[in-house]
Amino acid sequence: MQNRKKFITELDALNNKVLDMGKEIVLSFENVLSACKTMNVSLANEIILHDKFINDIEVSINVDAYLLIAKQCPVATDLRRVITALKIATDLERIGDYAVNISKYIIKTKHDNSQYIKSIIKLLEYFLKMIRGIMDAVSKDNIELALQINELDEKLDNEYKNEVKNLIKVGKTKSEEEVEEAMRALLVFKQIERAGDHVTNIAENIVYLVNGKRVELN
Amino acid sequence: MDKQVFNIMNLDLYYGKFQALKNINLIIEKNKVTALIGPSGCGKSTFLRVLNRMNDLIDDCHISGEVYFHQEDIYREKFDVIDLRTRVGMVFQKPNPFPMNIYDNVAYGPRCQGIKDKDELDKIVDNALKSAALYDEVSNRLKESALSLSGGQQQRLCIARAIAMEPEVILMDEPTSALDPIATLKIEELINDLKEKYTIIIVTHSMQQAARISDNTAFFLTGEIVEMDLTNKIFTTPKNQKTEDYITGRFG
Repeated sequence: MQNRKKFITELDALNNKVLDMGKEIVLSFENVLSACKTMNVSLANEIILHDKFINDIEVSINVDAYLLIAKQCPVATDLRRVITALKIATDLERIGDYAVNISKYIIKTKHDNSQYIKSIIKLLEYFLKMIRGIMDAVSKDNIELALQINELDEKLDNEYKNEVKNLIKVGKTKSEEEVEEAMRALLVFKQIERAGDHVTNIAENIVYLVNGKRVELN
Repeated sequence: MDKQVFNIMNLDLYYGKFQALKNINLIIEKNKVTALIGPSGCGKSTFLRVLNRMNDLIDDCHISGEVYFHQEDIYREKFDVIDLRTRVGMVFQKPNPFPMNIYDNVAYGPRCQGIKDKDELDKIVDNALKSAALYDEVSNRLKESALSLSGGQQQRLCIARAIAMEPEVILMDEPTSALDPIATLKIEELINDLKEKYTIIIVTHSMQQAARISDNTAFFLTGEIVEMDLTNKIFTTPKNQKTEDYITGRFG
């Protein structure tokens, strides 16, 4: 007879919700990428709506974790799994907010942004690789995979810095409208860079879940 | 289907002049685990014993109010108490197997009811032991003394003994307080499985146990129900400050 069957089932369900939330986030960013390629306003609106659904999953993870802690008094790996689920859900929720912000950028863009959209797409494609990889690591509780994905963040940061340097050059030579568009693109670059930092947080949490150690990865 | 198994209205209970239960109003839902928690002497075990009239055995105990088991008031005159105790089984704090073999312990109740057919008894014993998650551990030693079993096994045997009577309700009075943590978890797991078929009311001193296994929780204090609600609510956002203080270990 397996002990604590009910508790283990509930813990698995919590973990599955985190994985589901990750899938929704990946879907959001796939849509963000598509929407950016064609500056598709209606898809951008859909992404904003979809984020409400993602937020609901986060609330549900919070409630489940709260009940598990209150009722089942988890310890050791079980406790770390509950805490980790909460933290990863928070990071994913924030990443979802960046998808919304980029969607708003798409909706509000009035001037020609063709010279920046290529960079945005490049950063987004890079980020998608990271988020897909980190959710794979979460599903497998795999530290090595998490650390590999984390290394990608450094590259994303460098890409971001390069883009910022390019934008500074723009500010010196272009019209007010063009500078405005450059500033807006800068904000999008920053959103993607921050989303990458949250992937790093998730990698840190995978390490904590598996071996109980707190690491600072960037 | 009747979803209420017990409906208790305005129940007062006295031991002599001492009032042990004060104006209890409570509904027990079918196929749910209801936990009764509260500090020692708060009346929770007394209340449990109201439900199968075990308090009848105490000389100066008297009650007022109504206790409906389905639609019947179990305290009305000429009510069949033996039948009630068949339908409302009980498991006690300390495992109390009869000093006989494992098989006979489980077959005891059905035999008292007049079942003599060996095949039928075999089937009842097998099913009861399986339901109590004990079968695999004892199937090859049914003729050994029940007293040779471990405490946890003895308690599951007592649950099997109760199940053999095909009750609707199983009352449990601190069924794990004499057991080690693993045996306790086994009983808790069993309770979770049993609620598919039975309604379970459990008195427990362990708040964590109430939180882990019950659907509804009633908090008793000095003979009164302070709060009764979904266990999810009681252990996360109790309405009453006294409940909050008790479950957080501030008193009691």
